[in-house]
Formats: sequence, structure tokens, C-alpha cells
Amino acid sequence: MTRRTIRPQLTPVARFFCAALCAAWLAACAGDGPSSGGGGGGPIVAPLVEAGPMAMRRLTERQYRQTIADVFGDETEIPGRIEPDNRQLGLFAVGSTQVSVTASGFEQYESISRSIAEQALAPEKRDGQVECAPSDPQGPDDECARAFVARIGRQLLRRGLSEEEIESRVAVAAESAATLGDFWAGLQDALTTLLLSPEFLFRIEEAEVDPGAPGRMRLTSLSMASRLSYFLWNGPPDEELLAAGERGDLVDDQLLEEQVERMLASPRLERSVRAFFGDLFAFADIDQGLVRKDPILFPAFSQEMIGDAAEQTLLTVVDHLVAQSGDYRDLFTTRKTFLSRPIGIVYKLPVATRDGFEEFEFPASDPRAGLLSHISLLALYSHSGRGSPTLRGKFVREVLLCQDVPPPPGDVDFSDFADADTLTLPTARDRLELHVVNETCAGCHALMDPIGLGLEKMDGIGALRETENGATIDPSGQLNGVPFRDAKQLGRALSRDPLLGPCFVENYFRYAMGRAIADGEAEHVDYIAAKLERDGYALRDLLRMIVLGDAFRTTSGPREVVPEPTPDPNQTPDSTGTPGNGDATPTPGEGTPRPTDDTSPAPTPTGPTPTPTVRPTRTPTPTTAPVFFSTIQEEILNRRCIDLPCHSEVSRAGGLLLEGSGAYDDLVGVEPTNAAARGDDFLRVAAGEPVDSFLLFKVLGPSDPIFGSRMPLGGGMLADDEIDLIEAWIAGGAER
Amino acid sequence: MKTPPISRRTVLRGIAGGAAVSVGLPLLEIFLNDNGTALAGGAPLPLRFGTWFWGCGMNPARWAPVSEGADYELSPELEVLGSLKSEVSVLSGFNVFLDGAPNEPHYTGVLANLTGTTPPDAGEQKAPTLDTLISAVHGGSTRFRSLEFSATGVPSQTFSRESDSIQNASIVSPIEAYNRIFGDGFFDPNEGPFVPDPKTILRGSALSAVAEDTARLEKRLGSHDKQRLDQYLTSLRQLERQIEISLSPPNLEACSRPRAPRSEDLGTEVGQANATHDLLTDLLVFALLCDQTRVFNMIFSWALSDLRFLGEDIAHHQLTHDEPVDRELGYQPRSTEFSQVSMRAWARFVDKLASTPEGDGTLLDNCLIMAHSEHSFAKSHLVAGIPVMVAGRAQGRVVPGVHVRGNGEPVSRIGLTMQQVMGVPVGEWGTGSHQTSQPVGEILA
Repeated sequence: MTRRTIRPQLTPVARFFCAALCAAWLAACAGDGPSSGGGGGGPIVAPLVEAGPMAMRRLTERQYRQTIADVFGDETEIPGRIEPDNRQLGLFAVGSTQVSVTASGFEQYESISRSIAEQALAPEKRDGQVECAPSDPQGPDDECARAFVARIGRQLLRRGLSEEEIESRVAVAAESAATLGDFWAGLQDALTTLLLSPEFLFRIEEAEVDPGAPGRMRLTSLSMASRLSYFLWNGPPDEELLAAGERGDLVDDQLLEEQVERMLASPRLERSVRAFFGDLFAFADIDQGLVRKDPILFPAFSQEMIGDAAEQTLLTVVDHLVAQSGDYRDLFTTRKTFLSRPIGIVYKLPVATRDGFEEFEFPASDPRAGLLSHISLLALYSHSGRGSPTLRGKFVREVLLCQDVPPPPGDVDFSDFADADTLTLPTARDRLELHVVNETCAGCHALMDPIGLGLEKMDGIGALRETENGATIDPSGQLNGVPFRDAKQLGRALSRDPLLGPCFVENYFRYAMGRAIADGEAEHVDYIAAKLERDGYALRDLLRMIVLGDAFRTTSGPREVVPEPTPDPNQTPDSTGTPGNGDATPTPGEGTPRPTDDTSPAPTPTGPTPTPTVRPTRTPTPTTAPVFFSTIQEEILNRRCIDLPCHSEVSRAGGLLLEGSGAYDDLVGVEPTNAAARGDDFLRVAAGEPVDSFLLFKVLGPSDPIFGSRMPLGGGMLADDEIDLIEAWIAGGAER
Repeated sequence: MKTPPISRRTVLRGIAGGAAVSVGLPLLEIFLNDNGTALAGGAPLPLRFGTWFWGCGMNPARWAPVSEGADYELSPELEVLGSLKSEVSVLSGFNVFLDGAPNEPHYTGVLANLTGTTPPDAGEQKAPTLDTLISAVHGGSTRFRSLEFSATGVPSQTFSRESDSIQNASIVSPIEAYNRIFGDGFFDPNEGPFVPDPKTILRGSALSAVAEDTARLEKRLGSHDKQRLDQYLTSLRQLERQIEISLSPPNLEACSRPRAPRSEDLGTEVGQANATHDLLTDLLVFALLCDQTRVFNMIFSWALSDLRFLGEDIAHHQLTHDEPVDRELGYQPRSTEFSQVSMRAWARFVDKLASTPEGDGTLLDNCLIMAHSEHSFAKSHLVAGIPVMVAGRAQGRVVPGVHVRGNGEPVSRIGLTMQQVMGVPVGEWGTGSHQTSQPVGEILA
């Protein structure tokens, strides 16, 4: 059982400040030799890891396809649609440990399995798959079936089959062969059952007591084989790795390292990079033809073009990280890329190669450089008819910098706005600025729009433009305090942002584990980031540190269900603490309504989905004990109000500061900004008068939308005992 | 007006306001009310339930009819129903309550309506949607437990959800819909006598072998994975059942195999959505006539409707926010055009079912269909007065063509009514302010 803190899901944000500090510190000490991730000087010391839980993972669509290709050959066709993957915390990899198989999904798997079995055992291929010849091709041959099932079963289930498992398949083969008078038809049915086995569709891991450290659970050597191969190769283990797993090599430090080095040097490593970036950037939407543009506004758009655009990005990433061993951060400034003819039309660049891609370097004078100027991302984070600064900004914040942008406030009412006709304003900047007069919206839009506006000179499919509706576009802005004049400078600011590298580490770690970072792993992730911050964000270094680290090799055990609190009409829906291990609380899924507009920032189709905060139940503070502001600030405000960052010194959403030493004076005895609240004689905090304190009113849930949204906006409501604490503090005279 | 915040729970729960609409029939009577159902050749025709969803609501003042009861006067936004109004009941002014949770735009309304429970947060869901409760009762006797469709091309857009991680993906492609329903495993009674295919029987035994794997596996798993494996096993059992049913297919008089769609063009442009919706509707009609499913969900446009007109850079949802209310007209003309597109599609949908003969009546007579949206007035993200319409006579259990005013009653009363009419043994449904034991009596026969 891992230690639980108040807010496990917000560790990335907590680390935002830490990382920023570390970076500043590192910069100050540049050239002074090894530094510490903890900021205390000396070498970077590996922290102890308390790994999180393990859960079975459904093969993603890509992994399924890769596995079939590896076992039966690339030419095997997979007809029909595999059940859609589920994106959680921004990754299919994380969703894969939450999903099961729905009825329609199973139906699809069955029909696909039958087709694969038929292809694999087609007359022209069967000799390659089956070593023995059946004694009678018109009837059962148990011995030959047994040999086939045992061999192919080991490949598909990634472990040797038990006697019982083999015999049940041999029986299926025999029944079918006898009924249909065809040995091969029988074998097909047996193979179909293997392809439908839960241990094929899911990766199911096992742990054992670590003899070196009793009390700790480690993954078995066999489980390590699949964990390694699906992470580093996005496919099944090859024979050498599987054999190493079976021999027990992969729980031995030395032998494990040897296998890992072999895997990192293999051309298959590219698959992992493609899978990770495809997952992170939500390229599945492109693969599945879900990115669609208006044909009149964007005649250059086609599914072939956008498919090539995604490929361009992946080729660039693979070349930079795998072939060149470059630094991840330079991906946002690199001028080197790859072009094909269909995307050349949108880039307005000649491409000599008739089919396929050729290397290209944007000239220094070109307005484009780095991934943010790629058609793929620009078109994906746009609407069908126009670009979207909000979606693009949200992508940068959430996906590239790991900063949570709160979902749109509940109860947002657009009829509150001055009914000016935003439709007639020429540029996105005009429209957004007019729109974001509402303080509730302004705070969060300020996190997204200014970044996205920097990309406005590239339209809804990423083509360059100077004007919108005849008005000149101004692409200047700032990113976390660093001003930029245009998209290229935005890319440079991003590449130097202290959050970029650590976020890459976090994302890859979540991708590796298929879940949120557990509390006992947070320092380990920080440690990896600190090392890479010092040595450069080289992909192989990152992967090596992940797979050789204890978070990857050990576990707290299988994930257990968090008991669902019984609905109690006297409880607000979100206020019950739910003890549990790790991340079993389901997160919003793929089917969540998607935002399509620039003024209502719901979760993006692809960005990380905010996870509900899980809090342990605490004993309510006895109201008799005096409560001081320092407690309120430490226990509640610092944790819930300043980190998005809403009421921090940089943002001061709604004109309210809840960070640092100025917070008390901004709260107690001060009039609220909300007009309705002022009209009702609320104070932000009225000492001794909870009823007149707007702060308390806001965290309880205002009775009328004119008072704005319930707070906090992100990460779930405050727990009852937290609210009690605020109430006790105010009732006790709101002491400093 | 300041509401005193302390005694907080009372404040947060909200008060179910308004006078009671009427007291419905007791549960038992509904169960027994089985007469009047059309019969064909002595065998009872199946009773079906469906939902039909459109995004971004309507303009409450222009949508709700002025007069109540039977033969209500069509409102400006329901004008498109024309003579179909005798088949469609309008349920206006029923409310979704927040019970202290935020009103998550384009999410809270639809989930509260379908689950009878206000979701605590965006993306979270605390109870199954009512179509899955109904398919739990009716899904076992047909090849497909339920069929989900979406007309604007995104499979993950579905409101058929057993939980937030078990969502029944929508079929978006008419070609795929045809292959799945009328391809392998479909028997057309007009194509000669049914001969069971031994291969189909063998598929069943193969699945038994897979089911054995899960039994062996269960012992090794943690509780979270056990739940997921259980779901996997449920899905496997469903396919076994499906195979079993396909070995003794229903021989329905009205059943035949439709023509396969030749081409399709998926997307959110209005022409694409209309064409896809109509193709999917045609296939659904054949699927129902052949009793391939008894529960269906059709999404015309998604919550946060992306509908748009060719060559225009701004889509429906964005317009609901950006377009000012025209002072002269009193509504947003461009946004309203899109809700009219949806109402016309709904009218075509009802018309298609109403003009399809089945037994002594029409297919619609043997259906119960609930049309709904996620907001009433989208510009304000209103969930009060969330619009619902009901079509179909449910084999005489339901009176069509009335306008019922909800007067702020919980919308869950409609969901309860749907379940009870469909024979789900439930006397009380919903939680918090949505908890109710009163069906909407006005639409019950």
C-alpha cells in the first residue's frame, strides 16, 4: 500500500514549482558538476521507490495489429474495427488498464479472430505455421494439433500453455475437424479460441516476493518480458526475450541490462516512439479519419494529406530522437523535417519525390520551425471550419507542459455576456478578447488562448496566412512570462520552458506504467527528470532509467477496486473521501462531450482528462480548537486554489490572491469582485460571520448562477472536513 | 436575494419545485396492461425501445407548445412535425437538478436525464443509462442486445453507457451497419428454409473453451481486474446467446434483407449528417422488422453539436454561444436553423417508422422512442426544461400526441415511465432530487 497524499493527481503541478526552482538552481550552478534533484547540492541521489499497483492492460489497437503482424506476418489483414481505445489522463496507454471488452467489441474480436485464423492457416501459408502434416487432412489429428497449439499458444499468450489449456484447444480442433471433415478447419477454430483468450487480448502480469527485499513484490521474469517488449517495441517479445523471461533472466540486474541494451539498439525501438507520440498527440483521430475539414474552405485537405501530415511528424520525431539521439526539447525548434507531395501542397513547397517522403530543412527565414508548426498538430487542434487558439493552447499546456487547465466552470451562461456580435469581429484575437470579459472564463482562457494565438498565422489545416477576414493577424504573446513575437519564437520559448522536459518524463512514465504516477514514485520521476535536465533529454537515457528503475520492476500488487461510497442525499456528490490504492478511480472517458468552441474549454478530445481528486477521509477538526489562517492556507488554499494557477500571484483570477503572505489581507474584510455578492453585503471573509463570508458560500456552492461557479474549479469539490475547517476559522474570528 | 448558506445541505440539494403533474398508474397495472398489442399470426410482435438524441437544444419559448393535452397546437419550432404530431408527445418543462454538483456544460443534462442521477463531475457517471437497463430485460432474446448509431461520424459518441468505462460505441458507417447486422449470421426468411450451419454451432463450442480460460484466470486477479474480466465474460456470453439465436432465427412476416448501401459520406456537414442519419434509419427499420434488436440509440447530432453548413467556418455549438439573440426576433436565427435541421431529422425518423407497416399497424406502434437533448437553451447551458419527446404507442401502452407540461418536476419521471412501459421491474428510480416513483401518467394508456 502506498502512502497517500491529499492530492495525488496534482503531483505534476506541484512539481511545476519544484521543477522551475530546480531549473533555476541548475542554471545558476552550470558547470559546477553534478547537481541534486532535491536542490540541496551534491550528486543526484536515486530515491527509494514505492511502486504503484499493476492492472491488466488491454492491447491497444496498434499493439493488437503489431502482435498479429509479428506472429502471422505483416500481410495478415485485420478486417473490421477493433473496439475503440479509451483515452485517460491523455493516453490510450492509461485507458488500457481501465477498459474491458463490451459486447459489440467482443463480437468484433471474434469475427476478426476467425478471419486471422483462416488467413494464417490458408493452404499457401499453413506449412509455415504447422510443422507436422496431419495423418488425415479430412479428420482430427490430436498429436499434430497439440504441437501447433503449444507452439502458437506460447507466442500469442506470451507464456507456455498448461496441459489443460492445450487439451481444451485440441478438443475444439478435434470436434470441428470431425464435424466438418477438415483437419485445417479444426485447427482454425482452435486458433480462434487462442486469439479470443483474455490472456491474449489483455496483458496480465504476475508478481512475486522479491527474495532480495522480502516485503517487496517484484514482477516475475516472465511478466517482465512482455512489459518490456510492449513498452520498448510496442509488440510481443521476440524469441530471445521470451526465452530470457522463461529462464528467469529478467529479474537479474545484469542480464536485464543486457536485454534492455539489446532492445534499445533494435530497429523495433522506433515502434515505441511512434506509439508513444501517436498516443500523446492523439493521432488515432487522424488514422481513423475523424479529422474532417470543410471542403470549400480547405480544398487542399484530404484524408491522404492529413495522414501524411501525421507521418511527417512521426518521421521527424523518430529521426530526431532515435536516429540522431537528439534532445527532446529541440523538437520544438528543429527546422529539419520530412515532406511528401500531398503535404507539400499545403506547405506550398515543391517535393521531388513522387511517392513517399524526402528530407527537408525549413530555411532560417521561414516562419516555420519545430513541431508546433506541423500541419498535423495544427489541423488536429482546430475545428472543421477554422483554427482554434483555445484548443491549440490547451494542447500545449496540458499535453506538453503537464499543466491542468480546469474544465469549463459548471453553470457558465453565455447570455451573461454583453450581447455584442462577436461573429462580425475579424480575428480570433478580437473575438476571444471580447468574449473573455467574464471573470470566471477569463482566468482559464488566459492559460490557453495567448499560446494558441501565437499560432494564428496558420489556419485550420496549418496553411500560412497573414490576415483573417482582411485584418492583419498579430501572433505575439507570452508563454509563462517569456514574450514571443511569432510562432517560431513561441517554439523557442516552449523549448526552453522548465516544464517541458519534466513533462516529457512524466508522460513517458505514465505511458510505461499505464496509470497515474503513484505517490511513492513521484520522487523517482523527479529524479529521472533532474538527471536529464543536467545531461539532456535523450530518449534512450530516459527509457533506460524507466525500465531499470524499481517503479517498472516492482509493484504494490494488483489494483483493487475503490469501494463506491453509498449515495447519501445528505452528502454533496463529491465530498466523500475514497481510500484506495493508486489510481483505480475511473476517469472521464473518451465519450465525454468534446469542446468544439473557443469560449467553452471543456476537455479537449485528446488532452489529458482531469482526474477527480481522491482524498482520504480525515477526522474533522474539533471546532473548539482555534484555527489560524496559516492552517487554512497550508491545508486548503495552497493545495487547491493557487496551483492551476488560478488565485496565484501570476493569475489572480477574479482579482483574488490566495498565495503567499498577501492572501490574508486580500480575503478578510475585503469586498468581493462579484457584483451580486457585493449587493448582498457579502465580504470575502467576514470575521466571525460565516453566513456573510463569500468564500464559504463559494466553496459550498452558490445558490444562484449570478454568484458565479462553485469553487474550486478543478480537481473536485472540497471535502466536508475542509469546508468545516474554513467555517471554524471564520467563526472563530478569522485569525491571522 | 441571499440564500443563507448555512444549513448548507438543504441549500445544496435544491428543492423539487412545482406542483405534481399527475399521479400515474401503479406499477402493477402497467405490467398487466398487455392487451391491445398488435399480434401477427398469433405470435406477439416484439416491443422495442429507442432513444433519439439531438445536440444543443432549442429555444424554450418557441419550442414548447402553448396548449396542453391531446391535439396540442404546434409551436414554431415543432411546426416541422406537421401531421406527425398525433404520433409525438411533447414533454416540456421537466427539470434536471444539480444537487450541488456543477452544471457541466453539455454533459450534466444528458447524463442526469438518462441515469436519473446528477453526475458529480464532467466525464463521471454514477448509474447506468436507461437504455442499458431496458436492454438488460429485452436484450437477451435478440441477436444484438442493443444497436447504437451516430450520424456525424465519430464512434466514441455514444450515450449508451453502463458506466464511465463501459460505453457501447456507436456505428457511424451505414456500410458497416449493414455488414454487422445483415452480413454473417443473418438469416433472411425469404431466402428459402433455414438450415443451421454446423460452423455456427462450432463457434459456440469454441467460445466455451475461451470461457474456461477466464475461470482459471479469475483466481489470479485483483478485485479491479476481476470486475473487468466479469465484463469480458458477460460480453462473451452475449455472443454465445447471439449465436444460439441465429440458429433459430425469428420468422417474421415483415422481415427481409435490405439492399446494401453503396456509398457513404461521413461528417458533420448538414447534408452528410442528414444522409447518414437517413441511411442508418433505413437499416434500423429492417433490423427491427427482423427482430435483430429491441433496443436502439440514434444520435443525430452530438452534444456540443458540430453540425455546420458547407463552406461556413462556424459550427452549431459555437454559434449558440457567439451569436447574439436577435432583438427583433427574440432568438438566435442561425443557431435556430440548426435546431430546425435536427427537428426535421426527428420528423423524418418518426415518419419512417410510422409509414412502415408491421402486423395490423405500423412499426412505430410497436415502439417506444424517447427523443432528447442535453440542454434546453444552449447559450445559457440551461438544464431546466430539458426537452423530451416521446413517439410510438408501445403496443397500446402509451397514448401518443399529447403535450405534457412538467412544471419543474424531475425529468427522471420520464425515464421511469420509459422503463415501466418496457416492463423493467422498477417502482422507484433516480437519486437525490431525481428520485421518483411517479411515472408521467398523462402519456400512459
